[in-house]
Amino acid sequence: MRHDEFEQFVRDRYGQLLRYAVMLAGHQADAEEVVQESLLRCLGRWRRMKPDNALAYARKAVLHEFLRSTRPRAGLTASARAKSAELTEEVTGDFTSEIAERDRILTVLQRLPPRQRAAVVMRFLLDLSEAQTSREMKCSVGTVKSLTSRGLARIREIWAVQPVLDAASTRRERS
Amino acid sequence: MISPEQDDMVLRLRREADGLDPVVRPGQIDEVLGWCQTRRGEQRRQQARLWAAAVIVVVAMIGVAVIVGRASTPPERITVAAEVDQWPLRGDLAGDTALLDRAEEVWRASGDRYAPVGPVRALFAQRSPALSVNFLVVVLAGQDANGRTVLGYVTSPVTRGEPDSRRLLVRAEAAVEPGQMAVGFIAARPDPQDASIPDGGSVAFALAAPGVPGIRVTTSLVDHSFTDDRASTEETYWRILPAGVGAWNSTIIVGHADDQQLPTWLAAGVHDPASSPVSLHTADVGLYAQPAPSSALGVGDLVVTPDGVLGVVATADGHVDTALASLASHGRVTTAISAIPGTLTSASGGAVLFIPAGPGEIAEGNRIVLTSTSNSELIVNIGRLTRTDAGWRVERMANTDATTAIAVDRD
Repeated sequence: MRHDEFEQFVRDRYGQLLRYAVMLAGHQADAEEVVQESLLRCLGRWRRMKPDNALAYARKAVLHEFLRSTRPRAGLTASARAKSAELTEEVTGDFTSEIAERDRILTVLQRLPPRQRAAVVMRFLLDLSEAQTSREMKCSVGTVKSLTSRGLARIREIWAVQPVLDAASTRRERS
Repeated sequence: MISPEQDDMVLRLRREADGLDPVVRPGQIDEVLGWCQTRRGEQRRQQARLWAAAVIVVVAMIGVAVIVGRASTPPERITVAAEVDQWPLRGDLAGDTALLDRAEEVWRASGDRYAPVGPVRALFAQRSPALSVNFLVVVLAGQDANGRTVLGYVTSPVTRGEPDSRRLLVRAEAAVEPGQMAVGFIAARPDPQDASIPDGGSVAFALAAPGVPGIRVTTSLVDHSFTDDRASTEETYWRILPAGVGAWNSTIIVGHADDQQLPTWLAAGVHDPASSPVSLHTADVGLYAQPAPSSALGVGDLVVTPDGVLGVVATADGHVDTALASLASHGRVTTAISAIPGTLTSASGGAVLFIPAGPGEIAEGNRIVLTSTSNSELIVNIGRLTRTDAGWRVERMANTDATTAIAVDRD
């Protein structure tokens, strides 16, 4: 594809890719970085890319850039990794009141491990099929099923401890 | 195929996600396109250089093979044990001597608390990578009038576009502790020359010792899922962190951190509340804070660990009042996220209760924070709430076994 088509692609799809990245990363500033790096990767392959594949490729790039950014760094001792995980769990305990606020969907998604989160977002928020999701995540359909099932189970647990908010949500549904 | 129950959950997820609409600022797409073009060009040039370097390496290896057997001395290597002021000069702009000279001039002329006396060495100079705003940083090392090693972080003003290397200002400065493995700053308050930062975030930069990749900044102020606590794969860390994150509630972690490592504090911005490290010791009558030589400690200063506030300096000899219930007289006490105001009251058995004084839902595990009345940026954790029959009990978050902390001037 020609270079000016890349510019048009970015103008058409930036918002869509940013929304996807925000769902994954949970924070707009991080998402902007992820999308920017992903678009750079797209630009590197642009001339060899088919127009029909551009969006799927960009989405894949966003996913892999996000997953890359969440990988634990090398060199940490096992005890330091354990402490870090413990700290994260401890600090994220304060999510109840956050859920009451604007970004509560992001808060819920952030409680999922990165690959579960990605599978839930692709399957249920981007409406991709299991086959499409497995291609973009480079894993089997069975793995996608397992990730989404565990992701939904985790979300159910999170929502289960929000009786007041759930009730409020239900009231809004009915009104 | 998913179950009806899962179906309901998916519907709810989709409904809540409908309201999620990230803001694309005017001109943002143009900035992204410009950045992509620039970076792509750099990548091409880098590839060309790599090819050239590979050819040179092959030729050199052949040469080495020819003269093998000849005695050689091992290359000079900077070990991670090197003190900060011995670190080599790094960064893409390390060769820009005019920039380094201007930065030194700006630091010397600042007349700030840590302004250098005698020679100054540049340790780092580089432009920020793609963030929501841009700036360049020059890190300088020198000695202050008391002979301590001090660092000056001279930056350009924060801009939406290309940073202007001709306009420089002192963003932060601090004394360095011996053996420090990383240095850095968080500037919570902007400089008057800065462009506005989306959501009023804090500017953060950290630099690890040479050969120590995997640096990150962690903060106890906000939920980790909302902050970028990813480790950098390089020796630098650049971020715009959420508003409220400051040097008093954050620390640097480097790749080889272990459980025994003392927290590495960041320097506060020059416009932020003054903060300096203190050592802690316990005497019969309670906890005492001892400032570093030639540092000041004021009555009313908050004494904080990376997790939260330990207490308030009560007397000129450094005695720290650690009673949680008295903290409310030093600022506003609220829940961390929903900002429900309240008071702290002593209860039986030494417990302290949080009494909400405003509407809103409180849940088990919520944090409560102290916000300085005179410095709204100065926010520190007090504790977490536990539901008891008597009310919401406050469990202190600060590490009471800490041997170091920082004292922050609330005013």
